Amino acid sequence: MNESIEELLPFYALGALTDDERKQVEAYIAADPDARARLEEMMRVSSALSQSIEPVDPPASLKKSLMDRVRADARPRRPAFNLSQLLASFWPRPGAGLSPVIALLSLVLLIAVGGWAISLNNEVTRLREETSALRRELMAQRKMLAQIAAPGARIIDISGTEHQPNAHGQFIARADGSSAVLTVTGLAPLEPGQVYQFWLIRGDTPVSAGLLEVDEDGWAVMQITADVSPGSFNAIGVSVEPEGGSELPTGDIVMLGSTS
Amino acid sequence: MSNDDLNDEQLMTLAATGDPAALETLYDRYASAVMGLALKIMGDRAIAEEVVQETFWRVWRNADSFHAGRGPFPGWLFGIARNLSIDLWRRRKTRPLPAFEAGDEQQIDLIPDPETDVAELAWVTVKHQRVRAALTALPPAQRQVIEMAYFRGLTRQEIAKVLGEPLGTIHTRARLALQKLRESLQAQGFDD
Repeated sequence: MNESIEELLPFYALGALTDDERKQVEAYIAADPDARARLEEMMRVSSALSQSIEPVDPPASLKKSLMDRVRADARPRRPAFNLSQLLASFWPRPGAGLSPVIALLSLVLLIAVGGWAISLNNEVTRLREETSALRRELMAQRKMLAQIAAPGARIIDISGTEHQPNAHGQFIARADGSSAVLTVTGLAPLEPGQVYQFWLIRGDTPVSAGLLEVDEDGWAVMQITADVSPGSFNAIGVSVEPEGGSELPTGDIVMLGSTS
Repeated sequence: MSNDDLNDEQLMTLAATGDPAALETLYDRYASAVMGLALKIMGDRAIAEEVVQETFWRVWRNADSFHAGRGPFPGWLFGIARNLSIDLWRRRKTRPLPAFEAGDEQQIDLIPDPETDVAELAWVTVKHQRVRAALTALPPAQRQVIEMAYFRGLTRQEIAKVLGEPLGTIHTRARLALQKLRESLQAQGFDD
């Protein structure tokens, strides 16, 4: 029994090890069935911990949303592509008389088709994962907008300066001041190596609130998670900065808005 | 035979063939427990709901990777939910709000799912009370280590640092705590 790794077992069961430590434990239990049994016992206990929590009903809309997504995805699952099975079904049985050359060509063709099928399968998996990520992002944004549109939200207009007079937007802060959303339109494309940076001006000090990702039409939507409670800042602005942003504004101030 | 008569492992076999109704039954059985767990870790209902949705989505998409021989379904499910919650919590880099507890008035405005099975809910509640009693019966120092590791995802080194205790002490507390929990749960006939 390796005492130093045995000490890690409870923390493995509790999911509280670093990646390296976890790998050490996995190698250890792979070689020691008794250690594996001890760990499985601990894991049964730790999995019961999740049931110490008071159950809380999720809203009915959550189930509907999940099941809509699942049903849209549902279809009979195909078994994984099995090249050896495919070959076995095509390969001539002993005595069938297929020449070795044709057999070899068939094998090459099958491998090529198999490779193509696997590649297509990987591409479909990748696209599914991308779609899934986009759905999650959309849902998060919808929630964010719904929260911010709640009663008590504060709206501050932000307008383009002489550098970009066509730009305008709104800064919408949650009633509790915990977060906000900035929406901007009409921002001009920048030179390569430049970015738009958003600032909360607290007293006389601009504090960076992040970089704006502007699309081809000059639109940008940004979530701000800093303190935006009333009185915590007196103005907002957008400046043009070198790639990566700056600690303080260094370029043209292209948008400004005031809380007063 | 309806899906309600099937056990978790049978439902997972059906889900792996692409049967949404099997997943729906599993959701009805466990969504409240997963929501409670995510809320305990995240302290934010909106994010906890996302964790619930993502957890069951992953169950659906990875149903064929579940093997009953490696352990019961709830352990697998709660492992997914816990890992998602801890990852999100770490990414937020800020402490969540205090854990959501029973009787908290925040519960009032949650819209309960009208399809919740009352008998299932009663059984979940009984299990909850038993495990909670076992956890509460631990010496506070041992319970603290378990909660920091399991519900906060802190490593043993981080726990030792936060508590200002030697690493060996943290090891002992975790080992004794799991041992006592096991004895306590077995004494109550808790078998999953």
